[in-house]
Amino acid sequence: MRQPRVIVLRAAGINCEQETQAAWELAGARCMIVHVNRVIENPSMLAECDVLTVPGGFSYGDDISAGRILGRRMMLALADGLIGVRDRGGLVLGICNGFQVLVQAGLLAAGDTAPATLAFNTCGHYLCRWVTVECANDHCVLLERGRRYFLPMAHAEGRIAIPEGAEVAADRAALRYAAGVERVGDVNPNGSWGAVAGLTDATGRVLGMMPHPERFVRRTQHPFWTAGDVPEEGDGLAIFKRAVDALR
Amino acid sequence: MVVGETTWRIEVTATRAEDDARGRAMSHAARQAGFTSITAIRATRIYKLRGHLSAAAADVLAAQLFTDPVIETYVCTQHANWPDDDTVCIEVHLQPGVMDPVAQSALGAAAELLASRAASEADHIAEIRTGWRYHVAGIAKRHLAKELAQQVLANTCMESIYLRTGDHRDDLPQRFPEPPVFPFEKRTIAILGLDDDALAEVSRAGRLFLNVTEMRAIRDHFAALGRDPSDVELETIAQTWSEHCVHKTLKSAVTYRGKGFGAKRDRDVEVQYANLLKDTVMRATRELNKPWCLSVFADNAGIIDAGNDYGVAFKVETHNHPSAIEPYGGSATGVGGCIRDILGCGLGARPVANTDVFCVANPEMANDRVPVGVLHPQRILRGVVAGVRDYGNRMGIPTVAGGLFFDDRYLGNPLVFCGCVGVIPKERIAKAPCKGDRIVVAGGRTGRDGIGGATFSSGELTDAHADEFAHAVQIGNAIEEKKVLDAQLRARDHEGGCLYSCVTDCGAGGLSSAVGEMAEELGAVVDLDRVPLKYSGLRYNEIWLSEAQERMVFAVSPEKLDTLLVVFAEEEVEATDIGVFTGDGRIQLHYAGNEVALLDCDFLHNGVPMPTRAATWTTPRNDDLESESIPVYPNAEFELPHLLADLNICARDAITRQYDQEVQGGSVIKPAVGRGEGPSDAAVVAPHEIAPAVVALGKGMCPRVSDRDPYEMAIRAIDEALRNVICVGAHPERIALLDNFCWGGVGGENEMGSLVRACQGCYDAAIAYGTPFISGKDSLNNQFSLSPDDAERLGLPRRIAIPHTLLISALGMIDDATRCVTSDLKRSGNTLAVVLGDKGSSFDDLASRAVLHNVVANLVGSGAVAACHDISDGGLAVTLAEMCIGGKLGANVRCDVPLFDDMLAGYVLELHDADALSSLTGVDVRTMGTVTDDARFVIHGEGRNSLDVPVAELERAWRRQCGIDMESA
Repeated sequence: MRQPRVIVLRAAGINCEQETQAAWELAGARCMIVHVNRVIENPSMLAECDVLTVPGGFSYGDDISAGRILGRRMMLALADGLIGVRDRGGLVLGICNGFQVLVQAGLLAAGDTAPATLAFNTCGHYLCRWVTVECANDHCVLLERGRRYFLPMAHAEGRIAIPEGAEVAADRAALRYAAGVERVGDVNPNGSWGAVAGLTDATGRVLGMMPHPERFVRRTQHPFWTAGDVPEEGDGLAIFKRAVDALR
Repeated sequence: MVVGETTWRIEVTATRAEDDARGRAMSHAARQAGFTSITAIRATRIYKLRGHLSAAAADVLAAQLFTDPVIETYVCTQHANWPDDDTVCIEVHLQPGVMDPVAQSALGAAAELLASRAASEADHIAEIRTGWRYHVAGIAKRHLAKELAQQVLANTCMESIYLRTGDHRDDLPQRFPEPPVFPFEKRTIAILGLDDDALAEVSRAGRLFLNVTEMRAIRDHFAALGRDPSDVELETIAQTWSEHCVHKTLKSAVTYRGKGFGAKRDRDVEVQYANLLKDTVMRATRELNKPWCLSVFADNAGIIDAGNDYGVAFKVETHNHPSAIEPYGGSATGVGGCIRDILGCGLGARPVANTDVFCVANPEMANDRVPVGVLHPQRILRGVVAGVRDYGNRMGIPTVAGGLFFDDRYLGNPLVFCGCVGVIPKERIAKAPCKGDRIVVAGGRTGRDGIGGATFSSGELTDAHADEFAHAVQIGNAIEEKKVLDAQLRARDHEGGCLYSCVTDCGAGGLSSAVGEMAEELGAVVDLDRVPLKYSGLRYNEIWLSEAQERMVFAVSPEKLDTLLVVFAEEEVEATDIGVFTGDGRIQLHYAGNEVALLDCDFLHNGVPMPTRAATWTTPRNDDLESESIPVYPNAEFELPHLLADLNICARDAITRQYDQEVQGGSVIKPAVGRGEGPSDAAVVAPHEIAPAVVALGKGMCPRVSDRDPYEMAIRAIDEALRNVICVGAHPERIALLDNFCWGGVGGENEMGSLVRACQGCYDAAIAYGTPFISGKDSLNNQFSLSPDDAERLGLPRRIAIPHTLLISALGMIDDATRCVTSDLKRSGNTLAVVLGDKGSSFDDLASRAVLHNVVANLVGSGAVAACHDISDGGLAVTLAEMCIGGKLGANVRCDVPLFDDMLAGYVLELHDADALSSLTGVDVRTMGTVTDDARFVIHGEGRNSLDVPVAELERAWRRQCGIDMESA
């Protein structure tokens, strides 16, 4: 069986690259971490990979706004390469800050004409908690229709905002927040439009999501694993495994 | 400004109020600070650009870089103008020289964007500065607008305020500030032949914080050399000899005369300590002689064995005085500094977890109770939380454990403890610079920020401090430090071996302390001209002593230098060769072709006079103690919710949820445990290098006990820290301790006596429990002087000293993550039991306490325990209630142990099988009842000690969130 090749991008302030690499490897992929500057120097790297992942963190400090600087840099220097990965049958995955980067790079939107952005959470600050998200359609290659994923989120700017009067197309809303096993808090933790937690594109091969699947691959990462009834494999690992299966 | 340059001003505003996060946060903060008439604040981000920029180029930057077209609009102008309406309008701009991280990040992106435009070869951007404009609705008077700006919108020690109210308009800044030019002039300070009074004046005028004995030693040293010192020589000595750097009080010889310790407390004793720290805290470590202690008290952090090829490093620092003046910057740079201690420990450890502990006054205090020169405790708390959040989260290090303690004596001098844990390969622990190694400074550039940090930390705070020491305040830039971390670990793990022979961080004292420490045995020559600067205009002594953040110093052999510089360049980190380790035992500084310092390393590091200190202690009588009036409740049912809502007991998730607890994917036990998110006793993290082993982190602190006896406080703090990590699965055989002494002052003999008692408590408990200290830090001058008028107005003493506070942090190794236990109740029908020492809560017999800890640790390790929770603040009933909340289950118990005794210091256990208790010996174990699934908390006691309440009601009381309102942080 072919082992998919994954590039996990690194940049100043990106800080989830190691656990993201570990999750891909656990799912059966071959994965290397590469600094964005090396990719910009040598964009042909993208032609040799099946998956590009932009992991979480605070690229360039999230200065100006989250993901803006890295997103604009990638749009300037790597737009063709990113679209190439997707159009060759590969996948692009952005997690948390990586999602913000993909939105700022213009790869993800609310629909064919409506843009989207990730604005400040309604609560006004950074929030780290576990949330349940649900995949409502079978458009995105990495997600299973009807499945619920219990995952940690950790962000300040994760509220999907769109222009007045626009809406997020049903097939683009890859994940929505849902009521699950978590104790408290609003079902929609950041005030996102339509409780959308993740976006995909027209091909279903690009996914951006605010919760962190790489942070729940093992049982002991679950917030109440000591209370029992938690399977060995975390919900997040299912997303990486599904991606690997799709590429084999 | 350079000829031909233009300036542009880009104003970016959210189109809809709901997307104006900054404006909403500020209006919330304003109303909370008492500006209740304010109806709305709208915020506009300002970017000021300087460079060769056409209008088209400025517009491209505004549209494509600075504005989010979905939610924002922009205006691009050449001149700053007030708007044409008549609202109150306030602008806030960083003062020249203050770190502006947003501007730094934006500059690179702007240059890249301009370079990508074919038509704009002439465009060039030289500098960006940022600011904020606020439109305020609901106030009109100028003095109110000014108060709003000073109290809520800006911190005047680092920001400038511009107001427009009615027709009264301040002139807005149009130009970029130009740094002053520094014409070189070597200054010497005349001290030869001076008498004591004159020496004291030199120390005071230079803010050296050196006492007369020390000034005499310096005078005599230079008299022997036949010359006066230069300013930078004197300042280097002051920094090296500062309390902050040399810990001269804790390391001094002490004669103690006073009450004995523990069971001998009623007898008078006399004890001589040749070196207080070495004879107590460090002596315990030496005598215990644990083979798993790999590095103790020798490096920037202590290191213990993880059981494989790695060690675990732990350090806890304080950053109290900077946080009193600028809470956000103070706590953020506290986190940053502690992370650098971990990077600077051995040849560098990889940081895997942060901890934080804050001590502040009541955040719900009335505004008019706050003295002049003091920030409101609510603002301090919000600020320090936001600082830890923004620095730790950006570094990608989970903040997993901490504490929060309230006492109004922290009003003028809050305490901020920041800890960091790292993982290091054992073969990267040993380090030493070699003769001929180059001195490389890497990371952020040096500016005027934070000059005098070490000496500032050593003095006491006053009402005028915010003005006098504004230059000691700093703003961190976490991303700079993250880049340094990435680059350093690459250089450490380079395929050809580590690319440097030694490393340390620039802490308080800057290059002076970093290079000075590394060169202690060898000596060094440094060319100060080569140090990269943020802006021109720094004097040579400022370059040498600036505390500018995010810098590390490396010793690099000449043949590895080029490779190291390439690695750092690839990570976008500036690294510069500034000198060499010589081997002649002297620190030689050059600037502009002149020798500005030539200091003997031996005098610098060993010349500080260490006089013998006298210490006394008399046990305070009960009526001398400032005791809070303890409320009397009619019955337990009434008392328990009140206790759960107590500031020192209630839930902290409004704070902990703002910290990224999950980054690195290693959190095994988080601050909230169980389905009901109850409080955990300790955090457990699982760094991948040491799998399957994991690290437990706990803390103990009981400052109020120090009013009665600091000896007992130290033992209780150690006991609590130990109980914390034992509850989650650690065993005393593999637990190491850290100390952080924060004293109100040590000027008087009684204060010295209190320090002696705490140190002796540390020794006695560490020996009894078999748990060595591996690292520590002290901050011994934590008091605030009020102005006479203010003291009278508020009815407060002129001097408010903090309660002597000893923070004990515990680091426990656990072999396997899956063996960890949490405090939440697990299953209806399980047995509940309380375990105490066989002498109850007495700490006179530490051997029996040690038995208690070992018995419980063994029981937890055996797998018989479903839940384990330490009894501390609030006592037994609070402990059980917290376990119910965490487990979303009830409890039905009968017990003859006092329900609300804070001093009980035991454990509550939930057992899968009650039989496990029958084999326990040497402890007082009592079965109490069972876990129930009816969501009620029932205690069958006598009379007033009975209660029957829904757990949901207890949870409501407990979740009051310690008075912090984070919506506006």
